Amino acid sequence: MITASHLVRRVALFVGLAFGSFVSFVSFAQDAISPEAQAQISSILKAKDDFNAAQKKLDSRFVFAVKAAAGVLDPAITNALNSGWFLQADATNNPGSGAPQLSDIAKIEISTSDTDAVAAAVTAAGGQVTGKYAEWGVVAAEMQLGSLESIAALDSVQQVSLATGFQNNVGALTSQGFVSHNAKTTVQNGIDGTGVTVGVISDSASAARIAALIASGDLPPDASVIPGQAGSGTDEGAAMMEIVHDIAPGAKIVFATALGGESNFANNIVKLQQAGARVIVDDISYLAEAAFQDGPVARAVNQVTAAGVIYFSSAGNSGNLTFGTSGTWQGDFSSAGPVGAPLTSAGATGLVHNFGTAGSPQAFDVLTGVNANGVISLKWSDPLLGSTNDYDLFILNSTGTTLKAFSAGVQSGTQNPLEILQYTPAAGDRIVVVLRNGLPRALRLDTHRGRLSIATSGATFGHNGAANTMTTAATYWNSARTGTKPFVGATNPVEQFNSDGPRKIFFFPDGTPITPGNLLFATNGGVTLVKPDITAADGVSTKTPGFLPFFGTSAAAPHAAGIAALVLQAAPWATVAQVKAALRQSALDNMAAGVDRDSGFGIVMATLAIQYALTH
Amino acid sequence: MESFTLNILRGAKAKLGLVLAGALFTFASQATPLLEVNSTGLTAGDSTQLGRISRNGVPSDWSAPKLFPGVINATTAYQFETFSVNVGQGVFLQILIDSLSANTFVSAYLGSYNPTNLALNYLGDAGASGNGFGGVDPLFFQVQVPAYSTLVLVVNETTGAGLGLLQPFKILVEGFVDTEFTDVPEPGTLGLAAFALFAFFMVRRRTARNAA
Repeated sequence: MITASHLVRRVALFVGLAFGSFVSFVSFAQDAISPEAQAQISSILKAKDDFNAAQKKLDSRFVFAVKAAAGVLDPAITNALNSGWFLQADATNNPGSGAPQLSDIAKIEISTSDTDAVAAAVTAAGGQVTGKYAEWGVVAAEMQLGSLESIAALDSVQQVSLATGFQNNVGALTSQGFVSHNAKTTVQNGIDGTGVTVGVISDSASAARIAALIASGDLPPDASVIPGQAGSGTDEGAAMMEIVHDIAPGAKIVFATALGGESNFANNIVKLQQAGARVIVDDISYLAEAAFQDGPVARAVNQVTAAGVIYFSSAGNSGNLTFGTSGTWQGDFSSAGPVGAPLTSAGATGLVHNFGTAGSPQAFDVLTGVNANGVISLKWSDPLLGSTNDYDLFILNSTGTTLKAFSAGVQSGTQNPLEILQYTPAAGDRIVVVLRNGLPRALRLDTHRGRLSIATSGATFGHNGAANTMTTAATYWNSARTGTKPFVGATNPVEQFNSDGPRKIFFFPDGTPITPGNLLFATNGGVTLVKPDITAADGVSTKTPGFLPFFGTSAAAPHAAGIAALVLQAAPWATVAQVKAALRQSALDNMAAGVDRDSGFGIVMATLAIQYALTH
Repeated sequence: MESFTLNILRGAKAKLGLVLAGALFTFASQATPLLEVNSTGLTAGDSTQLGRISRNGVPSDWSAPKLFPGVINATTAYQFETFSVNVGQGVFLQILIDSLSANTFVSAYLGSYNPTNLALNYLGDAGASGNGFGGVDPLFFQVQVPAYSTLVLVVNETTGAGLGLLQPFKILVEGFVDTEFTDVPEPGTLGLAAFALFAFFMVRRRTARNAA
């Protein structure tokens, strides 16, 4: 609980930081951002002051897009809106017009306490409901841009957000991991996963692909899909199923898609558990998943874990600090001063975050490696659907003279602590974070497979790095360059694209703070999770087209899941905790000695894990 | 080598068999490669061929023979070098290529290589050049051949301008008896297997006799 004295101290600290920063850094902050860009940023921040109650609950891109459609938005800001990334032109649009139209279609997720009423309202407004998840309080829909505000205005609606994308982290052929993990030895000794059902979640596993793989012997005859949940895409799920089958050829395998948003993903996790899965593995990361609290997917992981499921997920392929491939920055907000004179003259306030140090300040971070998906997100330590600290995200060109993209939503108590944008990136782009209103919080900036000039560890996030998830890193099956032989540990480094840990959590799943009043890294707020947990093979052979070889933590996680199935057959009495302990404690140490942020406990080995489970 | 003993706490006789089986499979997991090449690279003095195989990005694998991808730049001269090995009983071959160079390429042939007819005796190829992910992860491809046949590996330069010369590379060829990477049993291991089976059989016979 925050007392009055706490509040006074916080305000004093904030004012002190702001004033001191202003005196020390204002000239630097102004030098880093051109007057033209400052004016554009100022205009955006000032516009937020005029948002009505409904607009504050609406993703700000839609609010600005409506203004652009009405012709009242500065053309430079319209350009920086990059509306082509989040609006689909309606058939009646004049093609090539470039500017948003009120008839453009938006894919949205509506957080609400009354999914039935909101679904009805969407339909009445001419939209299409694509999913209704009462247990998660979400309605997914597609609606015209011009109709969004009417939905946001409903009392039961907490926020209307853009449906964001996800990433998925890759018989006739057998995975080399069958030998690398010593699963071959285990299977030849009669332990092959018989009696264990493994659930696999990815983008897709088409009926045609599954039938072909069954015919070629690369999947078991009873491999199946949750009805209606095959998804659509690259059949990466089928490739993951192949790996599970290679490691644990006696296991039953069931697939369900993660497509359809976080809520559908969460639903399918539960469905797989209800279908009998004792092991579940996925390779999906929804980019908007919460950084510092369990979102719907992580909560589903918690639910099935309590029901006896061992849950595995790919750590992610977003790079790490050890190999200089990190595209993540985590730390506490530190002011580099206000955006500049045009901002204060417009009556708006805001402080630019200092990515540097007190002695060597820098009011921006630099995108040194381009991320092909063009997504950049900013998250901070406020609770989901309860953010009261308003942060905004801006992208400038390499010289800081032109605003290229922005995400400037309002956080006034019912929204998520999230700003996320998508645009066409270029190496050298500058990333600016502004505290529009509120208090310093722990921040997380993620370029989602880009690289940053000032970076930290902690790339794994969301359910992939949740407390109940066995977060799985990847090491190439031939990382020792000795051919198809069992891993030995020391000569098997993780992949350079591997997402590292650790993972910081500040809130319980229900949004209550773990360490009330302490929501910063510097003061050791929250809890720190050791992530990843384990490491497994990637770069392996599968028969699914496009996945030969199959690289990424997407390939690693199903190897680990298959090994868990072997352990469960050998030790059917083992609890979730006992199986996890067997995998962790018997792992071959690689990377830094002991448990480390890149490989966790090390490389899981089937024979050693079974031995551990039988003797502990 | 990783030793492995599966401690099943029932059936001492089964335990004996499993221990021996574990030992058997442990020994069998450490097969010697068929061929190891550690080269400082192609040189200007190497033999040349006109044209080279097209790189289509798809490595050949055991599931099905790869169609010959065709020849490009038929009038350009490229240096090449060959390496041959008799495969013995290992008919499922996995060729591992460790090279940072994007300008050398590896392909496989059966029996012999004719630089004037690149499609003749073609088995497969790596599909691409250079280690993946920033030069870290070596490439591999797979081909299937008759027992006791000769595998011919061809390493050729790909630019025609010599950019692929003096680029070091390592090649490792592994041979297996099936697609599950089962090694060709070595003679010593075959003897041990025979002993294991004999010992288990004798234990069973003794039990049966005692029970009679």
